[in-house]
This record gives sequence, C-alpha cells and structure tokens, in this order.
Amino acid sequence: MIWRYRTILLILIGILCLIIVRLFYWQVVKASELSLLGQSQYGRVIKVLPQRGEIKTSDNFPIATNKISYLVFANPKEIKDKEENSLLLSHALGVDRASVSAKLSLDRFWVPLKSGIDMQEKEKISKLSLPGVGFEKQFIRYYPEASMAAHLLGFVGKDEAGGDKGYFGIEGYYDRLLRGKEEIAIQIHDALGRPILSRANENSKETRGSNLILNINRSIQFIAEEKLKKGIEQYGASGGLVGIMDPKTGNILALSSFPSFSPSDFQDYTPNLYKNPSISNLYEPGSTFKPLVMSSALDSNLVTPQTKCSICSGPVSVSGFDIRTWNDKYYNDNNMVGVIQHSDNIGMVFVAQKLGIDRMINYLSAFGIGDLTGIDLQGEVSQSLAPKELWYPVDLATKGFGQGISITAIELLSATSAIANKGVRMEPHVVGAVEDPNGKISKIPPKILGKPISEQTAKVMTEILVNAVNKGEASWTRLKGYRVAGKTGTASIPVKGRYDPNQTIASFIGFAPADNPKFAMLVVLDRPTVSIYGAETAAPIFFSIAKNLLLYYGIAPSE
Amino acid sequence: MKKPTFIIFIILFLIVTLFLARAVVSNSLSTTGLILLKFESQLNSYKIENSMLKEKLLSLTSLSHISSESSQLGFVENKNSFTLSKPLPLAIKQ
Repeated sequence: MIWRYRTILLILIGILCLIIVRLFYWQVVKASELSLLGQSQYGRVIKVLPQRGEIKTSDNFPIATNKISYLVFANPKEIKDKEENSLLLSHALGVDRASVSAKLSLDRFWVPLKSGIDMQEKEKISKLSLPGVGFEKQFIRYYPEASMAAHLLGFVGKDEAGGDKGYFGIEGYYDRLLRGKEEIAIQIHDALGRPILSRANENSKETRGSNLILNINRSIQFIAEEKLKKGIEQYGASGGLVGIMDPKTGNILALSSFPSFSPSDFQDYTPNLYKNPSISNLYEPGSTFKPLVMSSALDSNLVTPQTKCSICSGPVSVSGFDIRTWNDKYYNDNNMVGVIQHSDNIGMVFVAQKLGIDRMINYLSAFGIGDLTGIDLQGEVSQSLAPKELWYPVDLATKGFGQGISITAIELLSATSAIANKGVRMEPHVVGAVEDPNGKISKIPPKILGKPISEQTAKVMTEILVNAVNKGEASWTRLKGYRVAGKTGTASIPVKGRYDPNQTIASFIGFAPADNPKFAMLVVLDRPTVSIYGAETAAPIFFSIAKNLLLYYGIAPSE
Repeated sequence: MKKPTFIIFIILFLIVTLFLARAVVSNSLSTTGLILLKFESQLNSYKIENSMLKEKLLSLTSLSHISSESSQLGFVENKNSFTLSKPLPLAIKQ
C-alpha cells in the first residue's frame, strides 16, 4: 500500500512543479508582454497635446499666445451618401466641394478636412450630425496685437513630421524652449469603454513650453510702429525700420520694420518678407557711421574737438578717386565739431587718414563692426571686415564717412549705444526672462561685450553729437529744451558697381537724454522719394518718436 | 460529537456580510466612470470657455484695439506737454 501512496504523492508533486514552471513563464518571462496586452484591453493611449509657451512683452501682456482650434476629420468608410455629405461639409467649412468629395472617396479610415476652425464653426458642423465626421482639438498661435512686432516674433509653421516649429525671430531662436513636450497618457476604461480612472499625465506641466518675457516695451513698440508707418507713407519710402535700445543694459525696447507680414497668416505673404531687415539686411550706413570713426580718432588722441581739418577747403583726390562733400560746400579750417555738424566727408577722410588702417580695423572690431552682435533672434547676418591687406587708401578714406562698408542696423545701434553708455558696449537682448512651466522665472542678466572707447571720449563725442543735433542739418526738427545726441545719414545705394544718385537710404541715429540716456534709437528709411536726405525724412520720424518716449518716461526738458 | 453551531453561524454571517459589502462597493464603482466622464467633459467645457474669454480679453486690451476705439471716441494725441521747470512758490507766514 505504501508504494501506491508514494507514487500518487510523486505525481502530485510533479504536477505542482509543472504548474510552478508554467506560472514562472507567465509571471516572469512573459510579464511585460502580458502587461502591454492587458493595458491595450483596459486602457486607451491618449496623445497629450503640448502647449507652446507664450511670448510676453515687458508688461506681461502675451503678444503671442495659444488658442484652441479644431481639426475636422472624417472616416470615409462610415459615410454612405458621400455626395450629399460633401456638399453639406463644403458649405459648412467654406472649402471647395470637389476637394471634400475627393477626400471622402479615399479608401481610408481617417482623412483631415480642414484645420484651424474655431468653436462657432465647430458647433455649426456638430449640429449637422454627420456620421463619420469628428473633431480633434489643437492649439494654434494667437496674436492679440495682430501683426505688431511680426519680424521680431517670427512665426510657427510645421516641421517634416507635421509638428509645430518656430521659424525666424524669437519663435525660431527659442524654438526648443517654447515648444512643449508631447506626452502619452493611458486612460483606463471599463468593458463598455467608459473611463474609470483619470488620465495620469493629462495635466502634467512638463508638456508645456516655457514662456518668454521680453524686454520689448509694448507701448514703445506701438509708438515706433505707428510713427514709422506714417513716416514711410509721408516720405514715399519703399520701407523702413526703427530700433530702440536701452544703452545701459542692451535691452531691445522696440524693433519694428515695414513692409511686414501677419504671423498668423504668414503663408499668404512672400517669403522675402519673413526676414527681419534690422538683423538680416546689410546696408551702407553713410554718415551715421561717422561718430564711430570720429570717436576712435578722439580715443587715440590723434584729434581733439578743436583740431583743424587741413584738407577741408575743397574736394580731395585719393588714389585717383575724387571725394566731395554731400552738398559740395567746403569749410576751410573746419574743426572736428564742425566736421560732424556739417557731416563733412572731407573732414572724415582727414580723420580716417590720421587713424590709419590698423587702428581703424581695431576700433571698428571693438565696436563690433564686422561681427554678429549676438542678438537673440534667428537670422542675424554680418559682413566681416576685409583683412588689412585688402584695404587700399581709398577704402580707408570712404569707410571714414560710412561708404564701402556694409553693416546691419542692429550692428550700428549696438555700436552707437556704446557712446551713450560711457564707452561700454552691451549685448543687445530681446528676451529678458524665461518662465518655466512651474512658474519659476530665470532672468537673463545684461552682458558687457567690451569697452571700445573711454568714458571721457564717450562724453566728448556725446557733446559733438548734441551740437550736431542743435546746429546741424536736422536742427529744424529737433526737440527744443531736450539735449539729444544724434547724427543724420544719407547713403547712396550701390547698383551694379556705381552709386545711384537718386536712390538713398536715409537714416538718423541718436540717444536721449544725452547726459543720462534712457534710449538709443536708429531710424532707417529705404529709398524715400519726397526727399532723399536723412535730415528731411528719417530725422523727423526720430524726433517724433523721441518726443513720445521722453513723455512716456516722464523726462522734463533740461534747457 | 457536538455540532460547532457558533462557528457555522459566524462563517455564514461573514459570508453574507462580505457578499453585501461587495455588492455595495461594486455598485458604487460601476457608476464612477460615468461621473468621471461627466466631470471631465464639464472641466473641458470650462477650459474651452476660459480660453475663449482669455482670447476676447486679450483682444479688447490690445493697444491696436484701444487706439482705434479711442480715436473713434474722439480722443486725440496730446501735442503739447506742460512741465514745471521751477519749484512752486511757497507761501511763507511773516
């Protein structure tokens, strides 16, 4: 009898071992596979839409934010009467009937019909109760100030995978910070498909992008845009730009240019308009460049404000090229104050020759000419200064008065701001702080790029520029009672190796109040037709904006 | 052998109690999904409403809107500013 008991016991133990082995196989070896299979039975994978970060002006107003919109899609296999449904949908969506009909006749389970529809349109289509038609929630960019600061902002388009991607300006430069992280959440549901647990990650802040708080002052940007728009119309220019910077910090307070585009409908505009002319277009600065060359010579102690120009009595010839003043008027024994006041090209040839090629290259490099300024916008360009071997005497002479050199508006604004800021050059910066999805704000501190000239030189140059405003060509439009430092510029446009005498780039650069500047500003008009001179076109725009800014800052006249 | 009446009674009581408890819990759980669904759709509609209100608020507070509204109402740009360059005269009691 005992052997029978033992046999049965062994059989039972054997069965038990088999069960344990099998359980080990399911529980350990196949565990992850089964877990996924289980999840697919009781859970539904949901794509959590990332929200792009907002772009706010310095007053915390979102100049670029997100709004909810919907993508209308259809399942053609569920739609029986395709003709009638395509007619109804084309009317409701405002899309061509043939296009809807073609999409509904595809042998697919999902076809997109129209994206970017708002809540009202969605309600209208929902009321039609069309079978197989559904909606997908999306976030699209919304610009409460419409096309304000369009070049500065850039726009949001699509990448190769169909996701959102920022192009140009801030959207392009800070795309990785702004774009959210797409996440996947699992919603658990019961046998009838009803959710029985909340989505674990739905409200995760990690999916959102960071917000950017700009140094851009919305009021100043608005004033600059309005005045520039009006000025372009008034002087018949083909375009123009205004850049305003705080010289002490490098903060960009406003940056505007026309013609522009609407970031929400960027696809309706020619791609040439996407580029920000302030950072992407090179131009010859003309006389607005003179303060940089003059301050370099002053800083080297090669000239003083009282130094007399010994060659200013008439045109000069350099390497066979005749150089004249802009109005063919010549001032014998003109001193350096008068050279800037009369915008005397011959006087600047005198200064440039005193300076020499080596010092000229060194000082211009210290002012940041020929280099990227490092502004935090996508699309900045620069043209390097030619190597010393390629500088001929005539190049030195013409560069002295801003011809034969190509720079961007931001390069000139940044360099001139150094004169306004006691000789210290700051990095121009558009974004002042970054706010992460948890609300933590990280400020971006001002960055010093160098000190091209001494404080004393900057002070002397400022006085020369104040004199130029008070007694120069633009004195008719100056602000009485305020000490404003500035310089006009009228640069001919090189066309096919020659300068076109009838087409110019008129500009004005300056800062105010001269003794404690709150802003440095550059106004550039492209091909003004009413007058070709900066003193008659760009200068009035400059002073019109400056007047508003001084009032805005509450600065009383000092004289 | 004496019948363990007391133990049988306890076991039966436990069976009935646990059965009822399970029925109550199952009953309450079965409707959680529907309530959750209702809450989620309510939350969603509030979020959409908030988003629309925010959009409207931003549009109304935009400088371009304020500027056009103010010009329609007859506001004009102030061309002249008034500043006090000297200190105000003080009345001194003699």
